[in-house]
Amino acid sequence: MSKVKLLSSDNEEFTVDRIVAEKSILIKNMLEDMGEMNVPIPLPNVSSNVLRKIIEWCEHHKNDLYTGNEDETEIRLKKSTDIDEWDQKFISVDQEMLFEIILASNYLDIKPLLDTGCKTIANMIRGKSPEDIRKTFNIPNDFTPEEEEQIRKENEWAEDR
Amino acid sequence: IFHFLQNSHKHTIQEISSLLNPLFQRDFLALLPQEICRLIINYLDASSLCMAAQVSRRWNTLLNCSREPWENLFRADAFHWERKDEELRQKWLQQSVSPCTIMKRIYLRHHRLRHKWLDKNTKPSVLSFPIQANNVITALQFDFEKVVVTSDDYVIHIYSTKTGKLLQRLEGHEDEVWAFQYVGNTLVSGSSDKTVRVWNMETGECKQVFYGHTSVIRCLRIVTNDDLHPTLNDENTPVITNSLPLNSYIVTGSRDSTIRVWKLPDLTDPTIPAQQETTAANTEEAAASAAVDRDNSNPYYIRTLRGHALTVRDIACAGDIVVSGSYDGTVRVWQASTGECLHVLRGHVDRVYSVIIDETRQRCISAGVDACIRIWSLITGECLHVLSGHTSLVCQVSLTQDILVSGSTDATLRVWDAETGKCKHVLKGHLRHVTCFQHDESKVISSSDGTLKLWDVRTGTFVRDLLSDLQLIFQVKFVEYKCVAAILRNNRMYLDILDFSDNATSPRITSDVTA
Repeated sequence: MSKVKLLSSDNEEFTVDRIVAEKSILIKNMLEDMGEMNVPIPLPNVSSNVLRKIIEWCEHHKNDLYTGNEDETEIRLKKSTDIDEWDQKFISVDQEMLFEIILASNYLDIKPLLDTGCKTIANMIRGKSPEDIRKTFNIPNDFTPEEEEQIRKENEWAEDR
Repeated sequence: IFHFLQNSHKHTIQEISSLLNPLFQRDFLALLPQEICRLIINYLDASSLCMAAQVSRRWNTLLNCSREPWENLFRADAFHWERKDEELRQKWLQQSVSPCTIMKRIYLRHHRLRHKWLDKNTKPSVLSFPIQANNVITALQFDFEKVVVTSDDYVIHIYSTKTGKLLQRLEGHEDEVWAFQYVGNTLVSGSSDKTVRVWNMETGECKQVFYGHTSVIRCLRIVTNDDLHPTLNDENTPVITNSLPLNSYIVTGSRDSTIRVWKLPDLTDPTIPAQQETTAANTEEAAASAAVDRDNSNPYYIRTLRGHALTVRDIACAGDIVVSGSYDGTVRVWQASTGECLHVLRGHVDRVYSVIIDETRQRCISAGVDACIRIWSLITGECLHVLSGHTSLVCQVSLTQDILVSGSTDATLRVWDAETGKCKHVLKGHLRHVTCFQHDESKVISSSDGTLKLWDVRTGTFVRDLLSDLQLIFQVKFVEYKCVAAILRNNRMYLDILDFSDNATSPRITSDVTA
């Protein structure tokens, strides 16, 4: 099986199976455009610790079918925030790393991983009060009391559902 | 550092940790690129979206410029864009409210409304007052100002929705009033006295009397330009056009088997002279020519639609299209502006009781004594679906967007998919025949056996009894947070007004406000 070399922003080199690297649509397109290369592909936006994590994900999912053609509206209508067990474990990282994974999967164009990241954040927000959300993400409350009252009224939710 | 931590007191480590932890926290929505934020927001449910909007200014701005999640939720919850929504949208647009905020408010409006009705813990306030009527309430229409009811005592009564006070008595008909409708301050009524009358509801004045029908007027509809919805179906040439060639008009259906089309008078028009029936004519020809003279002298008379062989029991209108259901077992599709009969829909084997128009799909739906519901194409006139399941008379069918509901004397209601005609739910619980019902995107309110029941239209489950232990329920209608039922309790006619709005206070029973 052909191998591909990837170079992180901090100059660490990773050698992976081509099928694994091609989980990234960015890399897949690069490889298709340039053919076999012996020089490592530079990924200046991804540091080695993040890239290592991403490669771990790609290894696990290398045989998944590409499902990028699903009707986006359908997916959204389902509002499904289910994440499979392996991914859940994989994504149980500190917020710093989660943030980096999301940015990197966006840059590398790995849609299923980006979705997993977004779902994870949505799950961190879900069902929490505004104050709990602030605590979760360390966000200062920058509303004036008047603004806060007005916004509370606008967003009044009559129930727990 | 490791060495330092190892030798530190637990308390110190805790302090350090509380200093360090925030370093690993990220304000994702503020820091991530907008397109990623949008992905995250789309995974949030409605209540989380509302909570998130209260977190910080940045989050508020971000969430308030995303219309998409609200549109998706609106669709996912099968809400239906109503005229009221359009009015609100126009109002808010004028106040420079952003389209996203408008969409959110409209979603929340529908959501709260659904929740109020379907949550068993919401207790409505009840205003109950006796009304003047003899044996039966024939029709009811209401808004937040007034409730209008007709009974077999020839008088149309208008009560205040807020207080129950009698506001107006419209007196003039010489027999029972079977059908009426009002638009603005104009009320049009049809009676067993064969006349159609146009009233000013505010002054109580009878502005016009139309003669011509030769028997009981059984049904009527007012069609105005406000009723027109843009046609959504672009597959076929729309039958229901988006303009009214006739301006506003009235359609009346009678036991004399004809349908008459009239111009809707303006309340400021002078009253036309009464044209009493010409009883002097001693030959049939003379009577017929007198009738033609009478019609021609009435500036509001447009034409008579002839074709049915028996009583016209129900009429539905959309734009220029009139659909009529008759005791002769046929349904006819007419063009109001030309009088042309576009289709005669044959299939029912007994009397037709109820007809409605599905504007979106360019169809009409009919039901009656043969227990079947038929869905017809207005374009080709063919019968597309026959919905069977009821075991006796289907007295009423009604439609909102994708949901078709039918009520039957077999004591059940059925919920159908308006597109495919598949039966989705059978609402079982009433003990006797269903007398009347109304439904919307969330609920069905139905009456039978002295009980008013509320059902969840999406799941087909019974939610609760709104009223019970009554002798009879004649009519029920709801609008927004209010439901009005005309009932018989302790051998007396009452109007019960249930209010589910936020500012509804504790239940109150008014014993006799009308006295």
